[in-house]
Amino acid sequence: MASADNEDRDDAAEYALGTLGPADRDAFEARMARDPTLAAEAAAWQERLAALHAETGPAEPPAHLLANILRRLDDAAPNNVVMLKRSADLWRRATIAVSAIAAVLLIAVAVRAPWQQTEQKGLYVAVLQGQGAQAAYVAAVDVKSRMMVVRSLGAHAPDAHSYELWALGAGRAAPQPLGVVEAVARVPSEQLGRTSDTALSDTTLAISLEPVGGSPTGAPTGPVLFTGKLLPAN
Amino acid sequence: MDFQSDASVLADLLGRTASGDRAAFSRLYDLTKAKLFGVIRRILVRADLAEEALQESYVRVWSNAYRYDSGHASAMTWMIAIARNQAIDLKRKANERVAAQAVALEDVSLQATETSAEDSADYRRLRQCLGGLGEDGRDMVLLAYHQGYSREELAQRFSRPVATVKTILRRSLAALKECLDGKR
Repeated sequence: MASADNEDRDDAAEYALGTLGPADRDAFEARMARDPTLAAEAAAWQERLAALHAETGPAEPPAHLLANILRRLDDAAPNNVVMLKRSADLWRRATIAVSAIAAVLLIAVAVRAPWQQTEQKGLYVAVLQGQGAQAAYVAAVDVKSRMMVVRSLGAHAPDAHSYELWALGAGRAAPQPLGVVEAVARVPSEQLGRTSDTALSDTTLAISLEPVGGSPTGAPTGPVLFTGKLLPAN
Repeated sequence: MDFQSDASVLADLLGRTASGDRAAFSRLYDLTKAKLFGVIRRILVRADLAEEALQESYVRVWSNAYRYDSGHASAMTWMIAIARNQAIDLKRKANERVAAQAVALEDVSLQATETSAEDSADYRRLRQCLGGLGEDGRDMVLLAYHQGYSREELAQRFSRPVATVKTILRRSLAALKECLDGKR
């Protein structure tokens, strides 16, 4: 319908200008999330108007702000860390009813035999989540036995693809490849390279969609589908 | 920094930020903070609010970096859009109307229709097209863009009904687009 299209175009322009009221803006953002054409339209408007910033002189913010910002990054939700691009539909089809906490407990027990459980130090766990915060994989690193176990909660790579595991953060300049994961993967924890308490706590695990056998380049080539931060279990 | 020539540097840093690289994020901050803070300061006159908006903007840059699509907009434009949204939100919340109006009349952006050869081609073209709009339309667009005026604030300032402001804005933007696209 032509009039609705015109309305969309006008909204995209006013969205970029900033004059939509709060309710209209929220509604427009929701529409944009569903409609890539509309998102492109709004982005094109932002680009058109951005030339006006030639008129805006720079202003130096106070020096302490960066430290404040960096502190706040830790509080940003865990799925903020590395969701490069999420392939939502892939995961939506899987319906895993295991709660994240139950999953962590399950694997924590699997990694460490019951008679060893009095000694809790050196156990790190992660829940790798995809779109909609559903748990897809759980991982546990046992520092003492030097082993990381990654277990699927039902997710599996689609035909003609593999899932590949990566470690990020803790000073790594680029995602570090940890190999292809299927239902269960056991990775010697030395492969993580950094196994100090702080390094493990700063590590995020991610799973990307790759060609069969894993990324040919040593860096993720497909979308990152699941991510989770390692947390000390004790 | 000159964001035209360094667009690919910023896009690269944004990509590394998306994968959780704090060093890249800090570098991105250093290269863009003065520009973003300049943008925010025009919308938010109060220093404490402007600083809050800047912090909020960069937290959003961090957590939304994976959404950035270099095919749609330059990294700088994408970040400026985030900063403007944050500043406008805070301004609406804090209801800074009075302060913004006090400086609006003196704002150079409304008068400065002359451009020089040193300005970018995009900017000169945009200024030329803005000059083709009616005076009210041009000033409304500039006040909304630079200082985050809402339709209601524009209505008050120009003594026009809000519905009229909406009509003028939409007509002006449509004319602007037609002018810009025609000049490519």
